[in-house]
Amino acid sequence: MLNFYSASNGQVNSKKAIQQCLTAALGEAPPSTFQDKMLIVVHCTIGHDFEEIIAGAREICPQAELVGCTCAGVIGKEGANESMRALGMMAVVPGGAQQYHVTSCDNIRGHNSYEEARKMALELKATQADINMIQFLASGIDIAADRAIEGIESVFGADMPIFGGTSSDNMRAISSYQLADGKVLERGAIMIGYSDPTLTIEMGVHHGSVPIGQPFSVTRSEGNRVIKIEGEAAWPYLMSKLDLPADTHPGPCIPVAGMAELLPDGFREPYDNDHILRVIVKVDEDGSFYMPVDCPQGTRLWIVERDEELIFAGLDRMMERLTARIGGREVAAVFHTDCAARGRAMFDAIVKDEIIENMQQPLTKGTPLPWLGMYGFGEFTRLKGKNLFHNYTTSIYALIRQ
Amino acid sequence: MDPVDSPDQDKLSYEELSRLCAELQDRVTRGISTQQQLISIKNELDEELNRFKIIQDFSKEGLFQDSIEGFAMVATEYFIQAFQQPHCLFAEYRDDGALQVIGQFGFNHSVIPCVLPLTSGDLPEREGFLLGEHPAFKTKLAFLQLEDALVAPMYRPDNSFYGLVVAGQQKADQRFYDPINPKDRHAFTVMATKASYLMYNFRTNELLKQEIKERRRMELMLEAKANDLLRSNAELEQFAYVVSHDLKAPLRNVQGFADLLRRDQSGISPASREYINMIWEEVKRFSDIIDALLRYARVSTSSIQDMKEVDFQQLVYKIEGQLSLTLQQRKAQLQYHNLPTIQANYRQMQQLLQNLIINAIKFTPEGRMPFIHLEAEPTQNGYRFAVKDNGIGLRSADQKRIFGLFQRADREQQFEGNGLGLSICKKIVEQHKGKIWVESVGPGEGSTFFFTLPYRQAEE
Repeated sequence: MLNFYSASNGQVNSKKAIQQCLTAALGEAPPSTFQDKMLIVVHCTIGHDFEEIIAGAREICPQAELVGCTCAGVIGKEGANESMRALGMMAVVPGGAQQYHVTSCDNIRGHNSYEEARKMALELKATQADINMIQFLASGIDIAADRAIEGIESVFGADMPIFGGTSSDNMRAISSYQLADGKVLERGAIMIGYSDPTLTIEMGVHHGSVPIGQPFSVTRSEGNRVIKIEGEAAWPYLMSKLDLPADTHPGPCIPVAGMAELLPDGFREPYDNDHILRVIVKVDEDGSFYMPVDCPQGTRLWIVERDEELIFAGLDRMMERLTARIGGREVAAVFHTDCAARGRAMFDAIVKDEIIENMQQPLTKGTPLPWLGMYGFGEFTRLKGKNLFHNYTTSIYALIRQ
Repeated sequence: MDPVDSPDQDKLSYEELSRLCAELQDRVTRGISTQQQLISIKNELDEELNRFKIIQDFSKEGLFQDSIEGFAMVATEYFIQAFQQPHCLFAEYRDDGALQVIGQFGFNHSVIPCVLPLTSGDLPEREGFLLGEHPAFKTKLAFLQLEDALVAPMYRPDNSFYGLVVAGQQKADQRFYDPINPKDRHAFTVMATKASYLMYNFRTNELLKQEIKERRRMELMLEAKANDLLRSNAELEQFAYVVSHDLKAPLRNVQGFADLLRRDQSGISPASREYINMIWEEVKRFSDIIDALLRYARVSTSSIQDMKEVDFQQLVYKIEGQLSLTLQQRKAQLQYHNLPTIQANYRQMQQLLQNLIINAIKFTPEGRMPFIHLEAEPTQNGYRFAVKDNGIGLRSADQKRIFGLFQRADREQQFEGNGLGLSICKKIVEQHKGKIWVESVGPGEGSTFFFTLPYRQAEE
């Protein structure tokens, strides 16, 4: 049986940050736990020294396997922190047999997303463990997330719950880093297969934006690369609509340049919205940009704007549905991915704290429930029994003890 | 106009409507970026607020550091947190004129010298400034490889230069870090001022702590020495007591046999008899010394339990009775009145006064009538007793020396004695937490022995 312990802090010294987190988190566990074999999942912001984090963890938990990724901010039971040096961690400690397996890859991109994800899934499959859920943390720069999901499903089938998100930097959309196997990877991916039979997962996903005006049509594309919209170079066209210079870098535009795509009929009700959102984090010199999913010619895209009323009301409805599904069962831990744009880029401190409080309170009910979240570039969340990739959402993954 | 009759006009209206619709959409989408700008402004204010919270936290944590290195480490970490820069350096201006680096964060240790090659005169501004705006100053700090940084001098409360704090970014950092906002200069100056006051307080406290530590060390050393002395004194006294006690028995035998020889006159030549008398006299003198030594050693074995209310008037009256024969022989006069009653060891007080009175008689030359006057005067903490005589007096050089063991003012040994009487007096008085001393105008002018006794003996 897996046990979970979490902590987060804004300590600027990376070694101290991870060691203080581990001490705080494992302080609730028996003292011998520090020497146990365990998995430490870390989310940290881009200013941290990753090598120091690895070294710091090794010093006090020599048997631990540390994995993690960068993000624009961490969300723990202590709240959110989007400073340049924020760190959150979840220690996954097996009570007996090792009920987690980890694999990773370096340099996952749009063109190899399926192959790399499949290769990692095959490695997990080869462990012969009875994996019942997969946590996927991948680079968010130009991954084709839908193809990555297909790659995993080609090994484990479409019923395997996939959750997680895509890592980010501080919204500059320059790069992202992953920590695995004692190394620092750039634009890589980590896949964790959990095989604790006492655990199941319940997810909730929600965004609070609405499309505005008329849609644009994609007139030329290749896979997830959108080359032309309405016959014009895609990125300059979009920038002109937002009254921004054509050479604007996609990073600062993330909060305003989200694109909406119409959802198939059956998904609209559980999603509480008719549209699914897409983020653009990479632009080529020719003015084409990359979507996180395939974007065939003829796709209609809308510019969106956030609706504060919908954000709060929709979040409440999502939590109501999630808690109803959980019922009286015990929540062992919560993983959480949130869009980087839903942090300080979109909300002021008060609104942001209120949103986090509204999502944590129904699950924690005032108890110190282990919680690890990050502000990243995208979210892997199942919806109506289907693994999907989302952007601009809050996605909650509650690990339920059966 | 009927639209059915004018299809061209209808077409124009539709085009116009589409244009207006597109314009409206443009306005809406453009509004999104305006909305975003407003949020950015609000976020800047949030950050500023957060920064002042960090400065407040720094003020609290900075106060409780044990070492200057600990303080500098905390300071650099708080500067990093407050200004979201990856590198920070903290330097203190020493009394010898060197600007010593006391803390750094994020730099490669090997590039940082112990002392910055700067003087206060090199600083281009008195308040916080941007390194990038002062190329000459940037060149002086080129080893830090900073592209830009916030720099602020620190000052002591008396406005003298106290150090420097630098927080900035190198070229590689610019990949993820935003350029330094010139507006941050003010907040940086505020935090540097806070840091300088904290550092000043720390240094001042450090000096005080050092002084207290040094005093405590000296006290402990003195205490240890005093304890050593007490222990060795006690050991010596014990040794003296044991030796005197053990010598006493064989001496008594010698004395006994000498006495028998003195009484048995048969067959002993006059010369031998004289020798026997000399042996007897010397043995007696030796016996007296041992008795005195035993008395001296016994003084310290008396404890607080032996203390009781002593009526000095009665006590002197008793001593006068005991010494009546001597007093009569020397035609001595002993005067005393209104002596107090205070807490003391009765036997020791008797010994003390008896010694002083006998000394007064003994050290008055034959042919002069001894005159001894005893009085006691209340003081703030107890009584000061005075025993005044008209004896041979004392040279000032002897006035302290005579209280030592076997010390005599009478170097020619005209007067009988073993040099232990005043040592015993001194020990008794000190045992009672008092002081003893003698005053004399000079030889032939008489002496006054003073001693003090507290009103009550403190409980040990």
